[in-house]
Amino acid sequence: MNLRNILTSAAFTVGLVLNAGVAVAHGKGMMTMPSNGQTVGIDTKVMHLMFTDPMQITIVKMKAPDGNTYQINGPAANKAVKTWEGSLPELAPGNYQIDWRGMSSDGHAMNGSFAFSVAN
Amino acid sequence: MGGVLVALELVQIASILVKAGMYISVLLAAGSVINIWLLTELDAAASRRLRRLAVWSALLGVVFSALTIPLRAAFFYGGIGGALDPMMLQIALSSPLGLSAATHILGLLAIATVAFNRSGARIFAMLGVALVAISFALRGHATNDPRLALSTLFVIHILAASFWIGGFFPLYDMVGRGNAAAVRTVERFGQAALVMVGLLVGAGSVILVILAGNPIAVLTQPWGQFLALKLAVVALLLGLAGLNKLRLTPALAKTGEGAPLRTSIQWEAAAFILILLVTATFTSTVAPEHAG
Ligand SMILES: [Cu+2]
Repeated sequence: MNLRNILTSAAFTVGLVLNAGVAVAHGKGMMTMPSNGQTVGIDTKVMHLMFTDPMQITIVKMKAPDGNTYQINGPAANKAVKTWEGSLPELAPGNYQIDWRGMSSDGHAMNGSFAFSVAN
Repeated sequence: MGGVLVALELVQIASILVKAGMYISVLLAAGSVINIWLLTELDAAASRRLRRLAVWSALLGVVFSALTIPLRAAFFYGGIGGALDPMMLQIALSSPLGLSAATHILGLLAIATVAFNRSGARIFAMLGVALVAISFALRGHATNDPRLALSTLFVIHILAASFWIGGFFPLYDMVGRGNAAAVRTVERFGQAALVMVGLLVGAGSVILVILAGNPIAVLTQPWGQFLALKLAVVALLLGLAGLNKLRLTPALAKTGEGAPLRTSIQWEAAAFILILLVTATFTSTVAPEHAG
């Protein structure tokens, strides 16, 4: 590479780096309700997954203390939402784990899990 | 990083292997066409073998690209049964991944026309190379802001990588001859490599800075650790390339003895495959917050 090429690419690089502050990964700052580790009452009827960018949630599963895994129903899998609301089945006291999967708007496969407890 | 690997499910491991296979075959197909065009000193036998390699890797690339869709559907579903689930398949197909895979396949079919040794087919195959390079910019972080800069950088990165990976076989093939044409071929590749490797590393570094931001913070995440591993192998590869250019090529020119250069090219190819395997792992490893 000659000097002129090097200088041109260096200038290009600096320009892009100055621009880079805007690019923030879309998955950051995700919140859930109940939140991870939270204890909720047996009257809890819904759960929420909240994202900063629209997300297509394809499946949400809940491991219950009875040993069964339940699928939680919410918005259709082909719809992108910032807040996903699912209706929970009747909850018994004990520990629950939620696993969710989906796709971000740039096409990335996404998943996550969190746990909560239910008390009387 | 280790924790991420241990937690991988079967579907994810299959996805990573298919993705690595897709990278290798697609880049090899595109790179073979670039080198058919670039290495004008190839003799008839070497040229025929390189065209055959382009066709076979293109066809293999079609299979791997197509497989990424049902595997993604299986991930969405949370089990291999999702590979046949119409809803999940439709989500995968209509996603950036689906568009990218379709563009890969179109480009690869165009590349496969180099089977016919005609100048028209060669131009068509070069269009296929362009399509393949563009297809990588249609998915993932290339679609984020600043989109134009990122897509351009990804296209440059992919073209330069395919040029390099596509050079291994014809160089290996010609170096075995030990004749003057072999020396001219290696020297020609070496000159082009100076520019291409510069572009490869330059574009890669800028992409990194844009996506990762703070490099120190990134190292605490598995994504960053995979990346550091990739960069270590890249450094090894660059060392081998330097050795080839500064020592082994002059030695070939002087003595006609090609064996050391051939061995070095084999190691380069192995390092490249390792890099693509690591890349496939860290671009498909699903972190709790973001799949990368
Ligand atoms: Cu992303």
